[in-house]
Amino acid sequence: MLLKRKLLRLLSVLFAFALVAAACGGDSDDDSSSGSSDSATAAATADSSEDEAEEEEEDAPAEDTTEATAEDAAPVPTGTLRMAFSTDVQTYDPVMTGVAQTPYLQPVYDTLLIWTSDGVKPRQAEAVRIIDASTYELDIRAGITFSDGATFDAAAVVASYERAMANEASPQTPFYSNIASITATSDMTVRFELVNPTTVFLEDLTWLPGMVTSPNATDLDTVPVGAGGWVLDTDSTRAGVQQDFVARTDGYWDPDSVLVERIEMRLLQEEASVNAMLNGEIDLSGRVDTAVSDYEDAGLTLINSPGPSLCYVQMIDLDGVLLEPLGNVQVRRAMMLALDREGYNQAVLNGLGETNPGWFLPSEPWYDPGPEKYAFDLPKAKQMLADAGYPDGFSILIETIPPLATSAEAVQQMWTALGLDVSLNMGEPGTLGKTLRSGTTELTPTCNIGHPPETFYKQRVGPGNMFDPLEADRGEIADLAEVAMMATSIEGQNAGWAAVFAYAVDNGFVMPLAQRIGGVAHSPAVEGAVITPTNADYPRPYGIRIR
Amino acid sequence: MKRRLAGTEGDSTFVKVAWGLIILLGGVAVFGPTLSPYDPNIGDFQKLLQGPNGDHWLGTDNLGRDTLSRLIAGTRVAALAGLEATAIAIAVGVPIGITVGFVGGTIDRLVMRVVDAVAAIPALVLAIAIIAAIGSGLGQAMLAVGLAFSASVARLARGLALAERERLYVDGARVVGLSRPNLLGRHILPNIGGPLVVIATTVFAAAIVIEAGLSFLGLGVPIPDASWGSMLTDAQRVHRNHPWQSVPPGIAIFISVLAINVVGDSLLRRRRGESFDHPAGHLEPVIVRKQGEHTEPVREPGRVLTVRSLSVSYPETTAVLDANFHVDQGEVVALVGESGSGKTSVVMAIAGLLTPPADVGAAELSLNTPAGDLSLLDVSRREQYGWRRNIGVVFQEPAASLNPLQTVGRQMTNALKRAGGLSRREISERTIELLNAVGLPHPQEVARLRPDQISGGMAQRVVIAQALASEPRLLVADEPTTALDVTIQAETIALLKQLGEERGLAVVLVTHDLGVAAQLSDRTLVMYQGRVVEAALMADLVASPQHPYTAELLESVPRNVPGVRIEPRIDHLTTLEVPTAGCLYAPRCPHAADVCRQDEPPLREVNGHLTACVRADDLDLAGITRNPGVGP
Amino acid sequence: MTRTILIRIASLIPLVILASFVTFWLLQLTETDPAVVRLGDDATEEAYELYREEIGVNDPFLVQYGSWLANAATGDLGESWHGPDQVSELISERLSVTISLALGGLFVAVAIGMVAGVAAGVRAGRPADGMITAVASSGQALPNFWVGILLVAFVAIPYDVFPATLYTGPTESVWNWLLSITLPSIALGTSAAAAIARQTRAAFVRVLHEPYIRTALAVGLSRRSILYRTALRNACIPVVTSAATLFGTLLGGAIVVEAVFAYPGLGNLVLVGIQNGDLPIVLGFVFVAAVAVALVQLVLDITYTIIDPRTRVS
Repeated sequence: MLLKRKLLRLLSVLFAFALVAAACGGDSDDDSSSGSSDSATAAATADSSEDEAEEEEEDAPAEDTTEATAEDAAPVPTGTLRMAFSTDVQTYDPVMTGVAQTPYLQPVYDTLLIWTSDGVKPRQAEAVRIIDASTYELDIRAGITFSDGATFDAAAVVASYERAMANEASPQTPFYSNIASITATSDMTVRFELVNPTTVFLEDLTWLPGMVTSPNATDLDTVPVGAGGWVLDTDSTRAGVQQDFVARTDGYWDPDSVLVERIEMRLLQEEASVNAMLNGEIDLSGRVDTAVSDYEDAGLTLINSPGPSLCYVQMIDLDGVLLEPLGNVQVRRAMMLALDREGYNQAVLNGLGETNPGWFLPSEPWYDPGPEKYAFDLPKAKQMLADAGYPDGFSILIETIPPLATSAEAVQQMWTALGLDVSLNMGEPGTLGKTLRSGTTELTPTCNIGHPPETFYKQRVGPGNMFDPLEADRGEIADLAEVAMMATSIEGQNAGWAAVFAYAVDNGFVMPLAQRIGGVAHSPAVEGAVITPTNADYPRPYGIRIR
Repeated sequence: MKRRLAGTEGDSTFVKVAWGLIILLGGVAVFGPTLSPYDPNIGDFQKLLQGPNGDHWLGTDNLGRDTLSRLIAGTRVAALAGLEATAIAIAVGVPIGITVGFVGGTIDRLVMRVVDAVAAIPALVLAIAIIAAIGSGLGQAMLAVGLAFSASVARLARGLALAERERLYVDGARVVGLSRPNLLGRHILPNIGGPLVVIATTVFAAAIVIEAGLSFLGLGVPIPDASWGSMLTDAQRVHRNHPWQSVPPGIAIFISVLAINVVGDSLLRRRRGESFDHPAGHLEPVIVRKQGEHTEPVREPGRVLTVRSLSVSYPETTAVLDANFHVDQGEVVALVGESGSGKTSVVMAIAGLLTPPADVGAAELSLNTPAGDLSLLDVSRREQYGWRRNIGVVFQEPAASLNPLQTVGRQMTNALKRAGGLSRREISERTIELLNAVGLPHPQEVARLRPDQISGGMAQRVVIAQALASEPRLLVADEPTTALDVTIQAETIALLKQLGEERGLAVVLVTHDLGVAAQLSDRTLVMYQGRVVEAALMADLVASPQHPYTAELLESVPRNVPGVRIEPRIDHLTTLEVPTAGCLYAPRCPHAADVCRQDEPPLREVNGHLTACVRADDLDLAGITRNPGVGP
Repeated sequence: MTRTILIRIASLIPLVILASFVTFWLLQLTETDPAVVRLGDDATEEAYELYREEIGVNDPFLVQYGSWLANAATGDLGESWHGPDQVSELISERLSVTISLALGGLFVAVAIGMVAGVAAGVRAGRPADGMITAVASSGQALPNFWVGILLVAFVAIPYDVFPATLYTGPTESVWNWLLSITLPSIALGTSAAAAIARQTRAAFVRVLHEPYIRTALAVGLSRRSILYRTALRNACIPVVTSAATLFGTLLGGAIVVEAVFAYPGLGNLVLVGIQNGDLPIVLGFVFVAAVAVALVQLVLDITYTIIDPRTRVS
């Protein structure tokens, strides 16, 4: 039961739209750590307790490769796995990489822990001990080497994290800055002391923050050196075109999980990757918004992400500093009522999304039925706008970027129907986050990967969040959040966050447009692809076999 | 302007439709917002991705926006793009071109280098560079396209300015002090209009395509504004399940570019005067029709060529009317007359080389060959070839009459091969022999040269050698000396005379120069406006002309500088109307009387001459006894 | 002949230099700060200044241009502002795609265009001529990226012969390379082929009006010989001349067509470069494009000298 709840909660971590990933690349708002919350109230620490970890030890190397044959001889990696990505790798330094680029780094580094259908499991760390809410000890698996020959031991792990902690520009700064210290307690054991307790520390070690770099690496930007199953083939890799990886031949510790000889990761935009998929030119791609029948006709397999991601309007000028009408909550509510979510879903998401007016879906534990009253109702919206003193509407400029253009156009269309005079301004890709933080923009429609409520609260709706350059008045939301964080039970936390987001929506801090389940499509040749909350866009290559 | 250009009659339906489309598109671009059935940027979520239907004639897009309305909005974008690019190309290119064309010298060379450099960058690449420098947007993109094309506009303007400068220099206009602005206004701008319009259509069409391409890449018009290119971007996203989406914008680009190209072509054609109606050029000469009453040809010994009732007409004029003559073996017959008198038409008809739209008819056109009599009337193409093989032709402009890309030897070989029956070795021997025969001193070397490497006189000898390749019985020479230097003229005449005598050739010589005719010919026919007005033995003609026109020609001989044509006297031509009845020469004739204006006088015999002058008996026209001489 | 070629090469150098100068000057107009591009928004002013100093953007314009040009002459196009990569490396990785497409397009244009143009020319004035001319006029108006979209949707995806997105380099597999550039080349070359067809036909018609055709007829050359020996070669000359300009257009078009096929060419590189404000890439791109156009011009000039001996420098 506990497991299931935990799973449910963690399901919401990290669902990236290919769209957004492309839009925001390395410097946008989507790259910050998903699970760095320092929840002081988290009652349940990770369940991958010592005992459980020990239990897992025997068959740990199998990770999610349950289909891998248990032959005595290690399987010889064969074939090439061709994957498509819509976002380019900017750097191979896991400290500097954005979440959207994680898949590029997985073959090279692997992670200390992995996420499976049974929760967090050992990987490069063979055991985890939770000493207290802010102290963790990890036993490093013996026999692992980096691809440059260096030994993967406690000293190497400490060096890797100390390097990361010293870097203030990392998109994962919230994670690293929460580490007070890391020390080697033995040759093969490290201890993390955290600044604040957090519920998601171990989960974080299943993605970028869990990647360890070789102590001898000098140019991680272009020459990654990790302890993963593959190495970057720098000869055939072409910047901005394709990244190639080749299976290690120097006695990799877990040969059962390295089943393909080569991995080719091609940079392809959304439309092109569908074409490539349908034409059999790649084996695996993030699923993009085309009709499901297209995939089925081509004999492709679809895997859904475990949780939804979100498209919504981020309001910034809640006090009406830049645009006076927006300071009126009735105006914001009218604007929310004018959002034709089903139309948006059909027009922008090809009908693949959900159209709940609230922040969370009924299937999620933080759901609150309150925002249902903002279901699309144009006459009511017009009435409300007129009652608020704007029967003739007002003018508004929406800042957007090419990957979000269709969303922006859809919102423009919906508010024009309300009677507003809406115009669009198109910025260069990658500049939206900066624009939103500049204090000159009232609002913007955007799409975002799923986060736990605490992260969302801090990033999007709470006072002083990253899109609050105008330091707007956010009413009682901080008090509500306090209640959620102080709750002593999971149920209490969930109810608390539900109230926070019901309040945020009711006051028009954020205006949900649609929720969407992302996923992966792959050809019949691919076996063993599994996606998890921390690898929601793309499966880890470990355990994948190509026929 | 448009009306005038559009209204010209030669246009095919195609061109008219194209004009119609352009006017339609222009109208849509101007009145777009009022024509548009819906707001192009605001759609209806209830009507996503519809196909064509009653409410939305061209369907709706992925946001439920009316495709027709977006197409209309895109039309304005395309039109603005085209206008801006064209305007910039002209505004930048014309002043630069004209200025450097006039200034010339180093500045000209330097500036044209820069222009070449700009032209070396493809328009789209330049557009991308400019967008990189100053940001994306339609204006920037079209600035780039305009600049890229301004290079070709500048070249054009410079070319015109240079030509004009040369011409004026020759005319001495500069000397008399015409100021430069004056030159510009009076001579250059009026001339540049035509070519500019043509080039403008090219720029316009290119701008439309480039705008669409840039918008397709997301560098053109900003969303949500519609451009045909950005509509295709939207369409491409849903193409698999909604293929209709990419049809309207694609067709819109296609149709508008096509219409502009078609119009541009028609303008270009009109300007160049390219014989659009007869694209086969010289390749497909007309077949001579048999006309008039047919009588059995009279066989006279030594007769080579018989021409009876030969007429050549063009759609608007009659070039030759009822010409009759014959040529015997060893005889030189000259056709003399001013430009436009029809003499060239006569010989080209005889050679079977007149091309459409000429219409040629004759009662008899026959050639006596060793293999028997040949007729050129109503023959097949094959027979026409056979006829031509028996005639050697020497043309007016020797340099242009030789294939510029082949050596003289090669061209001789081709001609000899066609003459037939010779081995390769014999061909090369014959080549040398013929080149020798036409008086080329170093035949082997000449054979290795290309036409641009030999002088006009040598070229004419080569042409004559070629004409002799098939050992014809008849040699036709059309103004063989006109294009040559004076000294060369004399040599060429001597050569023709010598060849005629040596080989017993029958020769028909066309010349405007009575002096040349007098040197070569035995008999002479004087032509005026397509009619043979007098025919006589050369000596008689010179001594006592029986037609006032012949007298006029004789009169002009002393001041007739060889190489300069007798042009019709301007004062006559400009002031006189072509008579509808009577003698055609009457308006120019100092002896014209009432009788001359009644019926067109037939050729009749007077004093051993054939003359078409009714008053020949009454007149005592002055001839010259002295040989008029040739050359200086 | 060698001398002719050398002179041609020499005359192309100022062209390329000027083209790069024009672009260099153009890009001076931008307000993009390389330091911000490289270091992001949050670096210190000292760090910004250090970087500006390092890459030399504080130097006078001509000094900057001079050092850029000197480096460019050795094949070094500088370092990308955005990342650690050398522009010349980035470009050389992508060049194969764009040049393959442009040359493929040129091949399609010249092969189909010349054949169609000659077919029309030799039938000048006959119904077949009219038909070819009409088809060519229409073909010329087809936008290349539209043709590309249609080819992907209706050829590449339904039939498993040509790739829809997968470019293969000629060094990997010549056959796959040919397959991968076939559709884009057709998309790119269609309109150009139509243009060439019309040009060839027009040149043919013009040549058929030349006096030497009449001479050839008069000396008894056959129709066939006149068309295919005399007229064809003469008609080729203006077409070859225009092919150089055409290559430039195709190079531009390749950028758009690449996007349709998602081929990793220069267009893709430069679009990302523009988005990132990475001007050295844009500059390098224009420079390489100008060099490519100049080189093709050179090849065509040489071809031209072979076809038309009059142009040889003696």
